[in-house]
Amino acid sequence: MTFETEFAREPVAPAPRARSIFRRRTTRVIPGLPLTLGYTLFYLSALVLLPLAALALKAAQMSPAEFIRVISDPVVTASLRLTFFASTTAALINAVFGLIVAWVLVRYDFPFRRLFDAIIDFPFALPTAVAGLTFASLFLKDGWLGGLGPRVVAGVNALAGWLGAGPLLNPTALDWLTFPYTGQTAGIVIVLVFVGLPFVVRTVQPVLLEWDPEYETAARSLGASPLTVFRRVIFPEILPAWVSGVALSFARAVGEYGSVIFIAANIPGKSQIAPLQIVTRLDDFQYAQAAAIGVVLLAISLLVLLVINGLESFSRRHERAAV
Amino acid sequence: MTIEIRDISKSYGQNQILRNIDLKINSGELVALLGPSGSGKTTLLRVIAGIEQADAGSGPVLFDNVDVSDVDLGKRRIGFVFQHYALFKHLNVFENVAFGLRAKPRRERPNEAHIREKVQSLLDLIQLGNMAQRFPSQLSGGQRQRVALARALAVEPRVLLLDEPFGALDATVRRELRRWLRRLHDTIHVTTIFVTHDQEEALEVSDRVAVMNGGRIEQYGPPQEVYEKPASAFVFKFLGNYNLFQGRGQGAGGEALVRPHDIVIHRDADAAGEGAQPGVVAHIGFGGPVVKVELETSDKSRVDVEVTAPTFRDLDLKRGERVFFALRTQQEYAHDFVI
Repeated sequence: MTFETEFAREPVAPAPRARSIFRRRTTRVIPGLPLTLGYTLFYLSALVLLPLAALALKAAQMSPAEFIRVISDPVVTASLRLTFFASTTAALINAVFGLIVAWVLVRYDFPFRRLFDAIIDFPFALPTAVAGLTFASLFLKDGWLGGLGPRVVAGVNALAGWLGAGPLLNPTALDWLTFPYTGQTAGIVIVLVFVGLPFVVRTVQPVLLEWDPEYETAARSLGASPLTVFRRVIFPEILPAWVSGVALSFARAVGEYGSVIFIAANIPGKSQIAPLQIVTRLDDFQYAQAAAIGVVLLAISLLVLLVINGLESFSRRHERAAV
Repeated sequence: MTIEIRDISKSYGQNQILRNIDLKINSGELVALLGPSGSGKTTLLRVIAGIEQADAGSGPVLFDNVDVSDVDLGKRRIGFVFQHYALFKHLNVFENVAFGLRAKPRRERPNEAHIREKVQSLLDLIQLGNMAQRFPSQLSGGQRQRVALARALAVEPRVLLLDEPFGALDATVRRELRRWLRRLHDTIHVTTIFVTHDQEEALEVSDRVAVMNGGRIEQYGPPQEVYEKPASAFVFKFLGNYNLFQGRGQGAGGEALVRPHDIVIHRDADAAGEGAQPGVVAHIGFGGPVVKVELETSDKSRVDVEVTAPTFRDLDLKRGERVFFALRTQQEYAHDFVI
């Protein structure tokens, strides 16, 4: 079954390329490229690079040996470990649930959808200290959820007493209802999930909104199961946005301070996050030490973000190369 | 495989798109659904594919006399080519074509060697064998169109459904590709339905044309029949240029329609014969093989005439000259009051 037809040469659209600043013949959308470029570089330098350099400079006031001593202090390493463990866990939880939330908000119509959609931005707007206080009053031992077991027991027994019976429940009978992680790592993870959720939702949502369902129909017409459609057609499309959302959520969690200190027990070496260590050092006027911890925090964050981005571009290449 | 649909209706809310459609397509036929936008042709195609469900109370969609109305899109074994191709952007040409094979459940999935062989033979069929590694963004419109076709063919569909297959292409590529499609169809003999709003395309390529208007099929028949014996004024008007003569001839209150090439121009009244009318050459539009002459009649209305270039040379018409014109054939229709 062969036949040949001579097809005319049609122009193929060239892939868009980043414009070199040295080639200036293309039309300009924003006039005065050198000006805007210069402004951008100045702005980035003044607001981001300069403070970071100052931070590094401050840390560099210490001798290398002293620097090592500060950052290898068990209290500091414990706080760094806690920060990165809690942030990673929170980012992973947000990765899954943020994606689901974005999906549901875009794909389904339900009562008060727009209200829920607006609520997603709350963690952005709410001062994180307020969020921390709220979570603490809910989840700590004497909070509504934190002390749920004893509260229910007291309630049931009071009702029984009112009805004329003796105490029905042993005071510890419902302790399993008590939120078991008060003041521990789980509490920190919960606030970090709260703080980081909008990043994932708000990065994935626009991509899903723009998504043309025709691709799904095409995949289904080729016999693909819903799972295959998601895995091979939809997911690759939202992957870059999703990854950057997760990375943002992670980065936000690493730097989070206000909400965490209200829910964590803040015991040095046990439940103290790295930013709190920095604040503690500052309170002691140990500026260089604080800067040293800050530098380590930054370096690890940078590394993690680089790895995440690397993984993303690797997976893209891999998907493309898979023949 | 034969396709038969009976009494299919489809509405979106208050808006009725398809009205009691019946259609029967023989095995191996290439059928065009032709109509203006909003005539329901794409919706009909999507109902046949199983992308859309017909309204409750509609008749069945039969594939080889088996009712497939309740069969899911993925299980109908149809190949659907979308108007904008819907190629997977993150997959290269090879993987796009292989998609349907790889998506099969594990038990039915061919092995890797088989997939490669199959995809390669399809790429050779669409003459893109050397572009397997390209991504859709690196292809021209016509190439994308062919990849979409190969992707649909990979799963060995029982029927091939194409939605405005050449709609997004330039005129030259369109012409080329539709001939290619015809030859492809003659090679693989899959029952094929394609949707188009271009009469030339429908008439040139298909075995039978279903002309649609307002959610109904106005006429269904071979291209020549549809063109030469239009069943309604709508079909006549939709299939090409025409001159309208209100209430002329015997059918009072009706309208007579005449194609511009069915009008003959003469220099003298005697040669023009009985019933010839005088006219003045108002405009000459030179269009290569066909010359379009606009005549102004005594009642100041305009008549479009198309004459072949040699005839035009022989007549040697000039603007403002008085001539006579006669109608070779004409079709009369009662006024239809359907809007």
